[in-house]
Amino acid sequence: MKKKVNIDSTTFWFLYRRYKEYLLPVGVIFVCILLFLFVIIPQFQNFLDTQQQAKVESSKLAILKNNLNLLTNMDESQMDSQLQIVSGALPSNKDFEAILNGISVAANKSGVFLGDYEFQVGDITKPSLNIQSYPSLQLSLTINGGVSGVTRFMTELYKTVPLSEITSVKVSNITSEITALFYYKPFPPLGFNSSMPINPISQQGLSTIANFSSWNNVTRVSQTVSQPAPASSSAETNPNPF
Amino acid sequence: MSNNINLVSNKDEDSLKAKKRLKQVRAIAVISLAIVAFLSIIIFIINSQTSLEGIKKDENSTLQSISYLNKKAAKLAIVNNRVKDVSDILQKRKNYTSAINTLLQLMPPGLSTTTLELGKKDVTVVVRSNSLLLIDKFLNSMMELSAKKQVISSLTIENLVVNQKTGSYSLSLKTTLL
Repeated sequence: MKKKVNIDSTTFWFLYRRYKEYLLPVGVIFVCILLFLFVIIPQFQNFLDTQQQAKVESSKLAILKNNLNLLTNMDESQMDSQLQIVSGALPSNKDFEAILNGISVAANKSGVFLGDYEFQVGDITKPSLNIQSYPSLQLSLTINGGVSGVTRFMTELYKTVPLSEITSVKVSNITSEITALFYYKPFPPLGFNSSMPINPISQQGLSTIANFSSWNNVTRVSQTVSQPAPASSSAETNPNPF
Repeated sequence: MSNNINLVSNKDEDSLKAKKRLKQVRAIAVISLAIVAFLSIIIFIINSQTSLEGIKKDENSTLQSISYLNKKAAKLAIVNNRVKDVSDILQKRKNYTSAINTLLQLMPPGLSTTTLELGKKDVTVVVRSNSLLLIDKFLNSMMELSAKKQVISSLTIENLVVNQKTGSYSLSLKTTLL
């Protein structure tokens, strides 16, 4: 059962007079506790949050500065030539001209004569930009040559751009049939995010590019990439993304 | 008569206790005030030293500088992407040349290849010779290669044909590439 405490004004004044001197220090303590709870602790929390945010922003700034440094020190002409080489090796579209040139160069270098050839163009709709696999153009060609001629031709073709893969070989005494796939891939969408670290070309990548520069048909492909030919097929996309 | 009547008042003692208590309360108040003031000053100082504005300003200026180099960045991204793609293709594409060369090296002089068919996995080779000994030598070399699991993994003789007119032997082998 609750007891009711009645304090009349006389009692109140009596208590006030008796504890008057305590009022100020107790009030100060009370205010200090309130300040601690509602100002200092939130401010400290805010400080921790700001520290965390500053840490994140500082690392972001470091990435940006690194990116800026990397991009500033990059030789654009060298980058252009590297882009031309890799675009020649893996064109962005079905580059019939480059393929035929590549075959012709490989045949000349291996000393074999080319017979009939047949392209299996396949789907001519523009391939999706987000594809993960490598679309290819199948080419069947006849070579006037035996085993040694075919081997020489295959060796040369594997050192020729655009990149190809031989999928079947039929060699008889004087004529041989080769089926090869010529790869291409559209340029990916340029989702460039400057706050993400930009990686320079890796050592392995540089050696791959250096290796390509000594391959057959590179010069011709580079010219094609730097001076894009007018679109001749609905499957074609602009080889130069810039 | 009560012995418990104390005529000497202990008011001074009470007053002393009250003063002491008041002193303690005041001391606590001053200390808590000092602590709050000290903590406020400390937090103010460290908060003012951690300037997010400065970092953001620096960030914006760097971003602006990068925006002039976006073309270079895009080229680099494309080169990196292409290098990855071509490395991938180079790694996965099948090289028949080494397989053919290995098979040709096993052929003794006097043995000729009439047919050579390479598919995704299988290789069919037809060799011809006037000497059965040379065919046997080639077959043994192939079996050795298959046993070592080099280049080929299995070996099947499809047929051995003797041409009575020309007196030549023709051996057809089917192998599976590794």
